[in-house]
Amino acid sequence: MAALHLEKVTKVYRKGDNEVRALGGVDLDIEAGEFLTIVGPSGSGKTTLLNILGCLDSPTEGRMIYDGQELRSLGEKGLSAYRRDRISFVFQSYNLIPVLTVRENVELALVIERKLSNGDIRARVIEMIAAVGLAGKEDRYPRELSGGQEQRVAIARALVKQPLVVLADEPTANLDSHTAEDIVELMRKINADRGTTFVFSTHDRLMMEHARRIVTIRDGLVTADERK
Amino acid sequence: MGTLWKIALRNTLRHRRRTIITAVVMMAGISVFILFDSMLAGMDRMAVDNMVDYTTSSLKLRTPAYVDDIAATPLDKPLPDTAGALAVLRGRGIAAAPRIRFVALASNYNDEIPVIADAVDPSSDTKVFKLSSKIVSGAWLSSSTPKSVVMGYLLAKELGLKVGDTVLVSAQTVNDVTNADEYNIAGLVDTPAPEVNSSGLYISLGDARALLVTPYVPGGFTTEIDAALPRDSSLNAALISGEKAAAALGPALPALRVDPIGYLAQSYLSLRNTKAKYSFILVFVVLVIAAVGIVNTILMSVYSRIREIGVLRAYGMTRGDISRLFTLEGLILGFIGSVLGVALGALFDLFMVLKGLSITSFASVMGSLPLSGVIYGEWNPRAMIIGFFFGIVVSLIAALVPARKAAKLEPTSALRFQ
Repeated sequence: MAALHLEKVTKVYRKGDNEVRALGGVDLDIEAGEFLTIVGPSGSGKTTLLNILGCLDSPTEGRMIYDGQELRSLGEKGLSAYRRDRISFVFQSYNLIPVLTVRENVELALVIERKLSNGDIRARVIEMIAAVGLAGKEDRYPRELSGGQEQRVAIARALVKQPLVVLADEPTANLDSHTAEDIVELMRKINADRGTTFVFSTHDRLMMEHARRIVTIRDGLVTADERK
Repeated sequence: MGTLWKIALRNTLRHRRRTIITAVVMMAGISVFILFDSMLAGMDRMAVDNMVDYTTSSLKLRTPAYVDDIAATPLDKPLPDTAGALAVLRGRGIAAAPRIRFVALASNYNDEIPVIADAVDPSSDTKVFKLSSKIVSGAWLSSSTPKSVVMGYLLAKELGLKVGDTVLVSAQTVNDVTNADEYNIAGLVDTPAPEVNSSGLYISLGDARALLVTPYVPGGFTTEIDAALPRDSSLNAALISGEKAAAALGPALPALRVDPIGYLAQSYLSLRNTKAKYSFILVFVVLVIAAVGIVNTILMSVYSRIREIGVLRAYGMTRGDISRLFTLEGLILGFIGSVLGVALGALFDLFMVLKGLSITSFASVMGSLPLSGVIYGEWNPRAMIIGFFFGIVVSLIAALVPARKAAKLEPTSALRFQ
């Protein structure tokens, strides 16, 4: 069974009397360890799909089965708990907590999870920071880092809790091409070494080149699903 | 919880200007409350001390019948055994002085003014009251100079009299007959008790007994015995020790009422609650202003960190966690403001306790309150604790609104926020 299974998922937003159909019945299976890119023009529903995949938003209709568990029945708290335990995010503008150091930002995901002892958290955080190439910068604040370094911290934060899936919304959009290449390489390496599932939305050709599967979405529907 | 504290604390310290402005408003409110409380306690202390030293003493012994009829200052209800009562008090190391209180008229032969006259034992009275130390002209009464009086300097001024002049004093005798006699003015007193200055007249017990034609009573005719208890560190301590002393003396003096200062000064003390209310209203208004500042500060914090809230929610923080995060910021702001407020209040207090505040220039507006000279503050740890916790509670309440607002944000819209 697929790690993430979406079946006839729709999302309708209502603004007054108007209805906006952001997703019109998406069927999607994502296997563990995939490196998948969702592409499509602006307004096609990429972000809505990512939000639903990330349990940040609930579908209006349809089924979501993650790791064998039906998520539709989970309420607000249940979805929060599911996000906390199984899903990580990497954002376009990094979204690190400015008052926390690199180490504390990476720790955050584990601290919220409340599963490991302090010693285990420390060990795993140090290992993860080293894995993204930031060893020695643990005590720096985000303002003391370059954009590329900030995104590496964000990736470390996403990976440290060993999630079911990492969802990334245009993770290279704010980076120069050289740094973007580094970041994509890093994620590819982690995907290969650790088998972590990555799902991106992107307009970036470089990311599309590295993706092993490209799902195209248009007007809220999957119009192409290409595997390399 | 540790991470929430860390984020809350660092955000509070990061936006220093906002934090300082909010904390300063809180500091002002709390420190003014502590200062006012100290001043009011000092005023109370001064007022009661002045009553003890110049009018009421700290413990008064009278017959129950006399107290029941006190408005008439009756002369037909004297102490049954003055000497015995004095012996009980002095046997316990308590300074005591017998007195007769009566209403009289003081006249310069043209005008007459009603006065409250106190017949005193010139030597023992100085061990209980401080009138003899407030003589501004002439001298205190002496057994070697009979037929003399000491009077308030304003009363003398009103009658156009001075030391060495003669004053005609008339009063109703024990038998309800008017009697009068002439007395030499031995001295004038200027005390912090306004009623002493404007209508106080002191005469020796012997002269008063002759004027009032009092009957023979074993130990001498008196209407009251005034006693001086050791000075306590605070007004509250004085009130408590007064109660205890009165309770301890009661069984030894079954025929008498023993009234402590708490009873003797009750009309003044009842004003204290009203003053305390006004003081609390003042601090409440200031802290409401501070609370508005806290709401504003935390709302600004919420608006400037909407995306951060989205990230925290995306990583699994619940609405409750987000609410707690911003409530903690309010708590930290309140804590900083309250600590600074208590510290500044303690400095104000220190100044008031050591240096005091002169109210001489306000004497004209003090009316009949027994206040003049320098008001000294009183240490009141209770006011500091109240101020501290009130600041914390106000901050917590103020933080609830923005904290709820932050908690209600949907993670998707928070993450989209530009």
